Amino acid sequence: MTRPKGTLLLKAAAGEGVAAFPRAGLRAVAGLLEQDRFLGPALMVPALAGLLLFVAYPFVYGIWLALSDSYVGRAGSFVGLQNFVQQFRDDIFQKTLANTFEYTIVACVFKFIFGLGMAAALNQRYPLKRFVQAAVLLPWIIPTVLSTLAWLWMFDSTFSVFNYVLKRVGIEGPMWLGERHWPMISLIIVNIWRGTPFFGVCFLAGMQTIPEELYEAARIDGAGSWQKFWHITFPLLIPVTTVVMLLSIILTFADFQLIYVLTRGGPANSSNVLGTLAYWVGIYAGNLGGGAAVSLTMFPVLAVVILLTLLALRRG
Amino acid sequence: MAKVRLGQLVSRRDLLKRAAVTAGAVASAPILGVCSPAPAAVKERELHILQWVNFVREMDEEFIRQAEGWGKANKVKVKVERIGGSDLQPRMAASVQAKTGPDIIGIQANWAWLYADSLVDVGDVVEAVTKAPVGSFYDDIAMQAKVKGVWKAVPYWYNPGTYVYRTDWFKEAGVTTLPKTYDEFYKAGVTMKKYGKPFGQAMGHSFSDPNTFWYAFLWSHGGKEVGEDGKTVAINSKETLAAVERAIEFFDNVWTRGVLSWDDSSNNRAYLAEELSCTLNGASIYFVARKDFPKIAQNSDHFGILAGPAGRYGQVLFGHHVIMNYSKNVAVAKDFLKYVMQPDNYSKWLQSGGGYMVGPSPYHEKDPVWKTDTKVLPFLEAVSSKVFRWPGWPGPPSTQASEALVRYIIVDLFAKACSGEFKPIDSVNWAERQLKGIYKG
Repeated sequence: MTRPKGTLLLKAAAGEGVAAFPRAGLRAVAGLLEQDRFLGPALMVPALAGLLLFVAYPFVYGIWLALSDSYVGRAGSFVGLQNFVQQFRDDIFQKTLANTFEYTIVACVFKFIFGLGMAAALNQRYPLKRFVQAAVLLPWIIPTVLSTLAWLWMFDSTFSVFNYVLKRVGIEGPMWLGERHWPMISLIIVNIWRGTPFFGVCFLAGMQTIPEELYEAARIDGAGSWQKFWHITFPLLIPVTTVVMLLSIILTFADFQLIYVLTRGGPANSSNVLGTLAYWVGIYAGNLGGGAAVSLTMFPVLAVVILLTLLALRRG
Repeated sequence: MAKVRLGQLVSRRDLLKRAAVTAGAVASAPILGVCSPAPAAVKERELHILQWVNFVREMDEEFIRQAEGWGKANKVKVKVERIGGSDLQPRMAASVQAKTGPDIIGIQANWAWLYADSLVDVGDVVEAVTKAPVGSFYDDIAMQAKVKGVWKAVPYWYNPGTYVYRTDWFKEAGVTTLPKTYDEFYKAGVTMKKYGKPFGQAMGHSFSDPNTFWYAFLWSHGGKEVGEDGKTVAINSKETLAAVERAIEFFDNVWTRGVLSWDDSSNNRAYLAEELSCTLNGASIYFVARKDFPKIAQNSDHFGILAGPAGRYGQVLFGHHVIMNYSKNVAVAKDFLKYVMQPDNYSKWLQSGGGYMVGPSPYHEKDPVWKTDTKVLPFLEAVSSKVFRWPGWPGPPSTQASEALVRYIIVDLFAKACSGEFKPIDSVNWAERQLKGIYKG
């Protein structure tokens, strides 16, 4: 009776001492792994493989696509910077680039301000403190698509709850998703609602590491609340602020889900950001080269932001 | 009690040895599976079909019933997958690019031109489907499916739009004659907006309603994307400018607020919420009303495609089936398509929709479905009157016209002017730049 081949290997994995591979080779490998200079890199190999496969390869392939005239279903040939030139000359791309900067800058500034205020409020003593601290995280925890769908209904041109309330007090509400600047304003509102808890919780954690003695000393010296905040709290929060702003800028600049669900970049491309435009151009229109070029435009901007932030952190 | 360290229980050498062997076992298991002989039983054939989620659920149910019945009779495991209509194109693009995915995809519009290189020649299926008594397809749907003389798709349905309106409100407001032209439609719309129940038409980026209305609006006012050669961009004309200026008048005096952000479902919701008195749509509004809002259904009816100064034209959503060239089940897929297009089977599917879809050939005009409810007859008339044209008309269908369609150039031509972002002439110039960029490729 022959045993199925798999049985031998399973027994080896169970450590029953049955050699699946030649003993000499295994001993040699084991010997190498006893040395730190080989063990360290060996343990990094799985993570490196993941990075290469899921980050480096798509990135390099994206660069190739951006430099080619590839379309969906058609292999492309090298065309240099033609896709970038074409996109930069396109009105829609120019508007999209401006939208992306506007969306990122405005949303991040307000998230910073509201997050700081939230942290200051949460840092006080009050009943059910832990419950409240957990509850304020909800907007950030709820999946983006789910919460944005709820906002979509709240902004709907026919069923908006905001406009219903405004109508009851005699005010005609705006078309949140369909009139001039309101689509961008609506996107920024939802992004702020989603992202403020992240800032708040990070700032709260930072505040709780500030030694109480500093505040006591300031109180003894007659410092008021604002002086304590400006001279103690804020300076000591700068490292946390730097990291939080860096992450938020990256995530907001590269945002896709929120815009896709709420406005789809409309009306008439007026609220497109780089992420959604890359999707329309690359996937919907099939112009992979153009879509990749739009997407890669984010890279130099974000690279500069990361570099400046890391320099600032180093100096700090 | 002294703490016991992991190193005292298992040596580093043992741990690494076991990890390496386990990894080797996991990695080689599939190889062993391939090398081992397969079971003696015959491998079941499979067919994977991808379609959109139909607005009329009963049509999906009938299709699945037929697919499963055919599968059982022919020993084929049939999987029918449904996704939202707006997700269909990204999924198609992903399948084409990855060269893997469904065997049959239910595509729409002129996508056969966009993805022609990835589709199987289905001329033999078309030949089988169009033999007597069915006969040939309508010209416009055939043009979307036949790419440079080769059948790349099997035409499946029309989903025409006509104007659903509230008969009671029209009567109360004094609109006693149904509009036949855009001018009459405008006058009726102004009256109804003053009455408090305006009209509404989507101007957002969704695959059906915006294109259906605004392409027809452009053509009916004499505008066109390209000339008859299908290459010369012809959007910048006095007719197009007049159409854009007229669209602004509609926006200011006829449409309800918010249409710039509307997608395919917005007008359905607004009509069934009794906020609108008239909108261009497929029969889905009426069908939902018939089922869930009988009072609205009783007070609703339809009127046909409107005529403009340059003629009576419409744009419609077509549906086809395509077989992907990466499929390993091409013969099976072809047999299945021949089956669903057999007159009896197709008639059952049409009837399950109650008039929501129209068949792709004149033969289906005689289907019993058109005797069930006279209120859906305008949908049949819209197809049989042959007013429908295709994106890129009067040029032939093309990949460039497909690209212009999916980038909503024509919809945005009107949306940008109506929103005030551009003056009418600037909007026309913008559309011209966009189309020149597409057509030069």
